[in-house]
Amino acid sequence: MDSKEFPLDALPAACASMVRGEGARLAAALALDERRRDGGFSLRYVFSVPAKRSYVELRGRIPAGAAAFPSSAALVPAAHAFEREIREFFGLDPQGHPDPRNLLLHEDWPEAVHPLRKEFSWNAKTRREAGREFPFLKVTGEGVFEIPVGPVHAGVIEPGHFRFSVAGEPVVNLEVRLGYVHRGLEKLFEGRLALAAAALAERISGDNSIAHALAYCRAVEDLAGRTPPPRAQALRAILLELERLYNHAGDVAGIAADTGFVFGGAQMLILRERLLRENERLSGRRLLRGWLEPGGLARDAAPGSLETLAAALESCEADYREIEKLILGADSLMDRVVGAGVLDRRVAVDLGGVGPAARASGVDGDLRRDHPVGLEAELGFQPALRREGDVRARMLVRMEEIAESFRVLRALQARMPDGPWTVPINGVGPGEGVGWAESSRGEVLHWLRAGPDGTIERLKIKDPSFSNWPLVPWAVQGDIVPDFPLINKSFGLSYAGHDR
Amino acid sequence: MFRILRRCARTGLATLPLEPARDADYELAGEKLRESIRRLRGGRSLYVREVDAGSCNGCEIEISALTSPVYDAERFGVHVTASPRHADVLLVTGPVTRQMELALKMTYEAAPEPKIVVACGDCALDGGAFAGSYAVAGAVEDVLPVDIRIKGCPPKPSAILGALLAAVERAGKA
Amino acid sequence: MEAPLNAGFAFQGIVIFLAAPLAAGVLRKLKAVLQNRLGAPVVQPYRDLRKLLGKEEVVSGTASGLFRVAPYVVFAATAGACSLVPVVLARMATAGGAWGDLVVLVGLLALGRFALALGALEAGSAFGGMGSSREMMVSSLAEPALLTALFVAALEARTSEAGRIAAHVARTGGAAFGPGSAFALAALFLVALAECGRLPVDNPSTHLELTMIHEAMILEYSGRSLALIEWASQARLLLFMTLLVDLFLPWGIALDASAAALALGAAVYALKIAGLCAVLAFAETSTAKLRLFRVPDFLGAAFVLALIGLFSQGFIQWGL
Repeated sequence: MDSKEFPLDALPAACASMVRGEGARLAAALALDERRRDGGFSLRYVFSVPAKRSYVELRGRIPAGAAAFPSSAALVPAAHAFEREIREFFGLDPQGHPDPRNLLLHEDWPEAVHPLRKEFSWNAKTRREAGREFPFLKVTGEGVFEIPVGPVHAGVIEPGHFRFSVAGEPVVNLEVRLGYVHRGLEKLFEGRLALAAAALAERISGDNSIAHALAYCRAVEDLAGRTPPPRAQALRAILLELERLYNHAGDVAGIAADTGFVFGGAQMLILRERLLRENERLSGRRLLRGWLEPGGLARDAAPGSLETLAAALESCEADYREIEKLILGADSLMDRVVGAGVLDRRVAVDLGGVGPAARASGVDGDLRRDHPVGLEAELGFQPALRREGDVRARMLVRMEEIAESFRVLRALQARMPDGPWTVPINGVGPGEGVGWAESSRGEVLHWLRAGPDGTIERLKIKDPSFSNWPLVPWAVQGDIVPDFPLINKSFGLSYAGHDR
Repeated sequence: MFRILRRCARTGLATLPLEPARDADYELAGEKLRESIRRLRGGRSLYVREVDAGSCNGCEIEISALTSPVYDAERFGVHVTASPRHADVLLVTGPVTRQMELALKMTYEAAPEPKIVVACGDCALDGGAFAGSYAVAGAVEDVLPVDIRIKGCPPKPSAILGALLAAVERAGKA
Repeated sequence: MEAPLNAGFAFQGIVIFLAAPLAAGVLRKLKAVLQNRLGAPVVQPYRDLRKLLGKEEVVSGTASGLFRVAPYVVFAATAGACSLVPVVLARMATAGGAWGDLVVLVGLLALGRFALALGALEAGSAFGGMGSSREMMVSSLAEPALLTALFVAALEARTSEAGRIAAHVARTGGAAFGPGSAFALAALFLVALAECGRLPVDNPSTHLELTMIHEAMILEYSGRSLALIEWASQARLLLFMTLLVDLFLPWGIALDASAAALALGAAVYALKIAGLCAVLAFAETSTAKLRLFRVPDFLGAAFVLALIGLFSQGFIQWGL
């Protein structure tokens, strides 16, 4: 990856010109604690530049003794959340940043303790501080009241807090407060052997196990300068699409069920269960875990298993087509989803939105086409694109991607190369590597630095939900409270991926 | 409307017989669990409240499959409920993160007796992949009394449902 | 022989309460089958209620005595309403006096709803308040439609007593069933969906707390209070179905207290309710939930249907 150094003060302008001049999108921003090396910190802003089909990194140094940097958030809104995270985890103050509140660590976390600083131990027991409250944005006015929802929600769903300010039923303001599922993953990776950490990567966001493990393995491979053989690339692509399939099936089922059209939801859930069982038949695990490793795969596909999969997928696709017709033909469902939760394209672009949620608002981007790895360039991905940006658009984008995934899986089966399924990697590091994958929710990016002994010094995990959660309050503006669950479901974001 | 009937007829009954949970997959607590189920009139009606106390969401995928037509937990009287006040069973996933500890305790306190706590998944049993992390308060049993332990990462839906039903069956025998 | 007859009449209300969980179970089973799954056994609601009665009650610290009393008021009001409606035996033509006025029935149901809505506000949670306000909105639109639809039947039989209406229609056969009745039947069906919290107005099996109407009001209840409220809402559903059957499809109802007539009446009643459950199951399965601000349109349509029914019935009767 191209990496350009800038003086710290020039960094915000450089970031802004990336976005404006080159049409780039901020994929991730991270900090590194290098005080043991040379006393200071390093800042990296990683941009996706589709025109160049590559990622470009802008870096700056925070000199020894300093603990602040000029914020880019005003010029590049997508940097807003990343810089908040840098502040609370590294104690580096983004000067000029509009929001001084913590992003992930809650009110009882002591202010001066920064978990990603090297002196903080991964298993440190930290005291709880009492008496502070998170300052939610207060909306005042006649008839405006607050509705707090969560963190424990009524369904089978991850925890998060939503603070609505409503005037009757219409939502005046929504604040999403997450961090409940923060498990300290980036710190947990540090010190581990880079070659042995793929299993942990699978548990960042359970339903994107493959996407995260794949991005991680690719980062290690980038660092080691090794390319997995074609058969491994093809098998990996199959796993990624299988994961996309069952996730989209579940999301469409959820949208249908949330509108009250339980029949459609039940049909899609039956399909999802079939897909999960096919996953198990192919890999031994319903969520496809335990198969990816740096260099390729841990073992080859069992003989005949790919053919069995192909036959099953054909039947699943036929089923899917019927269910799709049913759902699109259910007028009462379509009535609920049209016009609800409209996300403006400019908001999606400015905040660096990715995945189906962004594509439904007309943001044309898909890593499989823009940053293809291995076989992806040959498969001719066409991102599913819509302009309306409402719940219906997000549902339709997923449905088109389901159809596309079936097509891609057939193409992969047809041109499955023979040969080894892994390339040995004997040593890793020191150095930096980047890996990415287009998960069912969008761009997953892993930024890795390893030390000379092959252990991880820093892993920055970017889950697509981190970029997309800020979009939700924008989409909800003006809609009524009972429509919120449907809108939220149409985004289908991961809390675990956001919080890590 | 008729498209629905036609599709319904074509699909037929999607519910599959539940494969029995293997003994190695779960662990039942002793007398207290039996007593709770007896007070719940034999456990033929179990309202389950799921609480994600920090899981990666893998367990949630499998738990959400319980209400799908294939596993159909309702046929055993197991019903997923919206409010902790209606709950008989608290199905807890994930290591208990520091930031979910209070919410988990409050949910437990909101549930009326008799209640059963199920620790679902390796993380819930001992912290799993995240054990020891600065952000994790501990396993579920460090925060709440646990009656049923289910292993797996994630456990299969049949294991989760099977463990619940095994507890009900065992209470009926004693 | 007034008193025994009236007492016996009220006894039918108990039948509704006892049969309500079964009707709810049958409905649930039918919906499950339409979703291609087995579903709970039809007697499951009895098990649920039995278990709830044995559970502890947890009451929020902010709740006052009203919270504890509300479930009993709901139960009593619904029980009262159920006793006004014939199930197996219609009013006997020879008996004098009135029993079972439809307006009183609507009033009792409103009393129950009022108590529930107040109780929902007690715990101080946002969901209870949302549920109450939405329920009030729905019922303020549903009640005029309900009353108008009931008046159509009352107009034809020239009485507002449910039992008398049923007896009248059963005796005169199809002649009593005019076009007005068809409109009123449709209106009553739509209103029943709204009043009982069924799709497309409210989803009884939803887990989305922000969309709930009826369920939101009962989120804070537990143990015996919850059992009473659940039972009352099941009885309410069966009550509406019974009302539909009595006023518009009463053929087969017992017109005298002989054993044969009662047996036939009971069998016919069970069959009709099962049929209605099937219709309801299918209607709920094939539709999604309405957006909240479309519910007034839905109930407005019910009201207009009922009005049309009222006018056409009036024209026919008074030959205008």
